[in-house]
Amino acid sequence: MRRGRILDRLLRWTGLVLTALAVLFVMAPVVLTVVLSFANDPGFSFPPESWGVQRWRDLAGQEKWWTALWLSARLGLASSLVALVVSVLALLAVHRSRLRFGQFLEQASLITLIIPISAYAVAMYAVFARYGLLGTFHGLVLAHATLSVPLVMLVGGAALRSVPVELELVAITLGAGRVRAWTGITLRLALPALAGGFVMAFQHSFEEAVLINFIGGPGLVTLPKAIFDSVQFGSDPVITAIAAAIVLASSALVAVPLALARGAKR
Amino acid sequence: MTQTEHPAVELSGLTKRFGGVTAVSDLDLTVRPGELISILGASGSGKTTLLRLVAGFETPTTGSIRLHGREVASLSPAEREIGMVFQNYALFPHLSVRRNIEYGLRMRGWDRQRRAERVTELLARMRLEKLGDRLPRQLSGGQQQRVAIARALAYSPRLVLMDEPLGALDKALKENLLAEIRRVHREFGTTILYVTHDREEAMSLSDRVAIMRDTRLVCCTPVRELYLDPPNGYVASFFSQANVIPLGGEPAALVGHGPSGAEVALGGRKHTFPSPTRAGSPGAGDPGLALAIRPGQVRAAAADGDLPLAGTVSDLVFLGDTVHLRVTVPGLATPVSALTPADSARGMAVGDEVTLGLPPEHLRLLPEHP
Repeated sequence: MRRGRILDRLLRWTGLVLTALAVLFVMAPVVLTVVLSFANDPGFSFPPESWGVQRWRDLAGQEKWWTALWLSARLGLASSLVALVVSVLALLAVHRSRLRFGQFLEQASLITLIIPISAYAVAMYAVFARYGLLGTFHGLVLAHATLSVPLVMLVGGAALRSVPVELELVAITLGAGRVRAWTGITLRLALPALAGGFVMAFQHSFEEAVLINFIGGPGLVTLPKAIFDSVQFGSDPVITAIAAAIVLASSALVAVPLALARGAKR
Repeated sequence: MTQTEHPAVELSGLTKRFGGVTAVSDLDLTVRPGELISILGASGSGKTTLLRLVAGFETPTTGSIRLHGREVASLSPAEREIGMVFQNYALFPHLSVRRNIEYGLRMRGWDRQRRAERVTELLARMRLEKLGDRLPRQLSGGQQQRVAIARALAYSPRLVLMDEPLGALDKALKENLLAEIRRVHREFGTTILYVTHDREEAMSLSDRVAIMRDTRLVCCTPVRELYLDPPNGYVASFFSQANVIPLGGEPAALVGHGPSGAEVALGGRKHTFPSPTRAGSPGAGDPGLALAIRPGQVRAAAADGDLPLAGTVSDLVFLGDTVHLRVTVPGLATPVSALTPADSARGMAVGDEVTLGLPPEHLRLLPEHP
């Protein structure tokens, strides 16, 4: 009895320590980037020898970062929107119609998750070259949407499976049209998941740094590409400020909906 | 002829096939306005498909569905003016009780004032007054199903379809809701088609019971008649839980057939029963006939005039005033059930040799299969 209690306590403490270590391990680089962005040294050094907001000031003053950020934001929004629309239509077709091979279709839509991105980029380069989509904004949107569809499909599919089809049938007998039943009931109930999928898609597009090298072009420099370029041609410490900004922004992007969802549940 | 004189539901030659699998075959059924009919059948008998066909969730392969005299093949579920109640309640989880009940009225364009009045009325009639602002997940199963029924009745559809609505509830709640459905049916006068696999639900609810077996409608008969005079061996054992003894030679056989009826030998005695009315009168030795008797009418010990049936007690359950005996009889695949007064089975034990008594006046000669 007593021994059991000691073991119990031991396990609880080990668990706590391991959890703390795991959190530390995950969070350390994030915290470090933010700390480094407030260093004032000419190069990268750790620990920093002087402190200041020079890097943030530089960032604010260099227009190329803002252009890149603006492009990445537009690209992220546009491609996630396309991915969302395509996924919702596909999910409805797979789960709410008597489509043959529906399940196969749903699984096939996940293929881009599995194929290594560099291989995929080569294939896309060939196709895009053929249809004149290289170095165009809509080409990039298309490419990013293709990569994002599986994310939205995965999250949205799980949500749609958990909405009983009877809800829709009842709505229809009560006088709602099919579309009304879908939007008012089924998709309404899957909305949190779909929103989550949208955020994931946006983030996926926002940090995409491989594809852009193949199908981007002059004037189409996304933020990750700009960072890569800057590292490649010298080491501009301003990128620590950029990295810190991205870290903070994406944390907010995840944390705010989570907090909202928790608030809504209460 | 005015609309009300049409049958509420008129199915003729209704057949539904999914690919190569038949779910409903050649089904005819007529339901009068205001009737409550149970569709009773084992799972896979086609009863749910039948309901879905009437609701318009499926289209018939052949045959016609008329609701209140109107052919509905080309009508959407919404246009058929039906209410639907499902086993899993299917309440909209993100809407309050009030908004759930209101949903159909809103879709049908009722104005705010009228909606509010109707919902308040329904809440009162379903005894849900205090729950209007709750969300479905804050209600018990029984309350949720009452909301679902209120929602189905809200716009006064002339036909309500219920698909095993009490399947997920425990026995006490079930009784409660059965009484509620009977009351709703009386007060609202709605025609109800009630699908279930529970014979007691069917018995306590309905005017008539339609029994489905293997995609076919076996019968649709007033419930008492069905119970007391089952049309065939299948219904006798499925619905009345009767013992069905086929006239296969052992222990019972058909020995003669005359104008007065069919002569049956059982346990060394003979008795003449009126022949069952059936197209193509059975000839002597017809293997398709069976005797049926309900457990409550079997005597634990044969008396004078009874047809005797000897066997071994294989199970004995004491129920208080009565005892449920199961007796294995050579030649019969299933043991014979007897529900007898406890006094008459005093001292009896599993393994005893007994001779049950089958009073001829309670035995029915029936076709074994539908």
